[in-house]
Amino acid sequence: MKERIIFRGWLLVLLMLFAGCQPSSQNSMKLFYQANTVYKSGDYDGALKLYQGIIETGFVSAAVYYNMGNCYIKKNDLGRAILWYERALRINPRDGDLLANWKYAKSRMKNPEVFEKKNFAERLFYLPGITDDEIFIILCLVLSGISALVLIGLYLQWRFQKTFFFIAILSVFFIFHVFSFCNKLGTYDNQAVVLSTAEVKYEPEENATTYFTAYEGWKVRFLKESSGWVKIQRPDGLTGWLPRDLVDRI
Amino acid sequence: MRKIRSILVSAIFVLAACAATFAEDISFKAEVDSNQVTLGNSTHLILTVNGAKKVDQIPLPSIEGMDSRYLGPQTQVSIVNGNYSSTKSFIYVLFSNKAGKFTVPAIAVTIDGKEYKSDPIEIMVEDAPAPAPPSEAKTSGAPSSVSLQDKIMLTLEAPKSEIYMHEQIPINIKLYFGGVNISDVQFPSFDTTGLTKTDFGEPEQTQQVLNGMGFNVVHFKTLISSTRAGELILGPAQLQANILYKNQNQGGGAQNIFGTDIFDNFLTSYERRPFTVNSQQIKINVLPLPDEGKPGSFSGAVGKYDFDVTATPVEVKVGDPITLRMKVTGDGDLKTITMPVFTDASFKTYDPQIKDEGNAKISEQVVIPTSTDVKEVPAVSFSYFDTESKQYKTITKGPFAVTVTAPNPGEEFKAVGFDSANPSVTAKEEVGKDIVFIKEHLDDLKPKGYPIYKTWEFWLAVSIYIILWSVFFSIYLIRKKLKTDTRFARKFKAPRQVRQGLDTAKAYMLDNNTKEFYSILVKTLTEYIGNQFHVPSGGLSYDTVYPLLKNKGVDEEALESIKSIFESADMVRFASLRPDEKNMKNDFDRLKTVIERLEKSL
Repeated sequence: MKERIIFRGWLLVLLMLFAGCQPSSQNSMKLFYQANTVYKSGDYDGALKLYQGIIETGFVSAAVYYNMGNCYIKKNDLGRAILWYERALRINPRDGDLLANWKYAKSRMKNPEVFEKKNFAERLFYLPGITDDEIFIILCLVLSGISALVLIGLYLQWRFQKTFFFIAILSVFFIFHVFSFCNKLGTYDNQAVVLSTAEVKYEPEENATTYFTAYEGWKVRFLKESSGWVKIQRPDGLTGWLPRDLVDRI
Repeated sequence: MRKIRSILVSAIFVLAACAATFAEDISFKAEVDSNQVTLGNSTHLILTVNGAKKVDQIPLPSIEGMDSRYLGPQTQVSIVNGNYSSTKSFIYVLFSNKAGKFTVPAIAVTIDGKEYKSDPIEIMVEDAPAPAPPSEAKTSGAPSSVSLQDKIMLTLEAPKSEIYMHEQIPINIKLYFGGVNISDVQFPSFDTTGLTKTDFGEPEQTQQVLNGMGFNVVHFKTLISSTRAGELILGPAQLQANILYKNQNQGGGAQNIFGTDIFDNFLTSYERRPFTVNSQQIKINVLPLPDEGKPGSFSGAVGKYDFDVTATPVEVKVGDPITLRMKVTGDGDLKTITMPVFTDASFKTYDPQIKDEGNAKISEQVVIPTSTDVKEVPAVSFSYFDTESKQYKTITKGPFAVTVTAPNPGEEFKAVGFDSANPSVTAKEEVGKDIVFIKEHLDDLKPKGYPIYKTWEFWLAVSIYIILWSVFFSIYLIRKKLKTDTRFARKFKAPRQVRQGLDTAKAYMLDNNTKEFYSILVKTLTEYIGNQFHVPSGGLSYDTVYPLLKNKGVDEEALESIKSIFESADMVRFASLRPDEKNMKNDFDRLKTVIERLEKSL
């Protein structure tokens, strides 16, 4: 009797989840196909509105971000195109079409950033084409491997030195990658793209002295925001203020 | 002496202040710089409170035909002949939007619990003289416009109300303004959903007379084409600019004295106010392109076009290039048309180079005759939909006669992809560069901000792994302790040995083997107690187990049962008594109960 009540309870929860998720997902699919039709008719603004509608339903998709990037390329809005391609790359960094269009957009930049720097951990453990989820899974597997090795060593009565050698190698690998991963996640929220070419000022004021020019498509660090202005940092360390509507987080 | 003087000065100030408190008399009035204002100009409204110590800003009621903006307060304090007076003024600027007679209503203000009211003020707003050519102004009749909206207008004009899909039509947006000064005019904007639009060109400015009023007209021109069939609602177009309101009072003094506007120009100040003007909407019916009579070579050109083709040179050797130059001119959207591409088996062809030159689209394609049998370059056709005649038209140019001669020895034609046994690449292939087409399937949709560590599958896998690891590790620890800790090992094994002993005893009981039954019964009991207390079980008797169990707090009832089991066993072993089946069953149950009790106590 008790089991039956528990079973019915689980069934109800599953039905609620199904009822809650399914219509939004179907609606997103419908919007996606509508947007593609509008895109093919050449109405890129209309397509963008529909793609935006999918994002507003609370879903993300590399395909939607990619198509939005294409719309902006067609509209000649290079900064926003690069922004959406970068967002798509975070979800699906190995997609060939996406990489091709991202490179195409970058090649059209009038002033590509030439001073991109990676820190020590990024350079040592830079894993291109791997998503955060995949890195997380790899790290979990490594940790599982280390703990399993400990267990096997105990059962098979390995000599302490032999066990320690393997565990030490895996632990070093694990610790460095955890460090690298945390560093990557830490900088993720602060990455932004310059949407259109603008003068970067010393102070958050229209009349302030210009420090340097930020070109559309540049990838910069988003440091802080103050009354309609954003403090950005170039990869080579120069910082300055840009109007908020000219820069957006990836 | 100096001290006396300072005391006297202080006394005078104190007396003056005292006098001032008695001299204050509160009054309130409203006044304007000028009661006569020209439409498009502004005047100041000053609300003055005299004698009050503290007055907050006085709000202004809405005034018909005028907009207002608060400029700020002004305070004056004066002591004349010992009379202290303080005046606080609140200054508003009034912008005239309409010609006519308007009234600033009586304004009430409460100071120290008493209400004061100003007198109503009448303001005459006169229509501004329009800069119209006198001759035209007279013929067009007297102006009837009296509002600012009639002096600034935006119109949206399209040459036709019915067009075909992809047909390009000019759109003219006109900004009319007369009798007002405007600045910072922005380009107009309108919703471009379902259509393509070119950028606005440099605006043109003309003058026009409407209803007897002269207007400056700014023309913004663009081209649009619809990408969808059906009803297209164009507009409203929206334009933003600033109106410059001339302050009516400024420079007025100079004009009165000198009777001239020269100083007026120097002294006049302007107030900028942003405004937005909207045009009307236009309904355009967009027809789909008919399927009937659509030629095979039609590739989307809509409008009126001309097509020309030249082939040069006309005398070549086999392997020499001939350039086919195709030129399309017309009033349609040249950017969207696809140029014809020449293909023929007798020629090696290359991808054309396409460029835009003004209102022409030019394609240059290199073709190479592959044999001396070639006598002509075949005709090339270009099809378009003519929106005037409402039918498809095809313009064909050619064929172009050419003379192809054999190459000199050693200059044989070696085109890539032909029947040469040893092909050599003579020209580097130029490949196009553009974006890859959009994704047509949505197969990676997932909730936003949902990393893997937030999924239940991940935590299920982690939990299973942790449980398994803990189980195996616990087994390892138990096995290790069983090997090294005898006391633990005996205690650990005790329940299992009891179960085995009871099973064997039961079997003997069923066989009615009394001797073996009691032997196993006692052995099970003594082994269990020996394991629990880590003492040798061989020599245990009731006398030896009693103090052990008593110390552990085992109750008397259990001790009595143990004693009974030992006595029954001794009777069988030493007195050769044969208890009946019932007694054996009782002793068996007694042992089971005792061990259950000992499990709880020990």
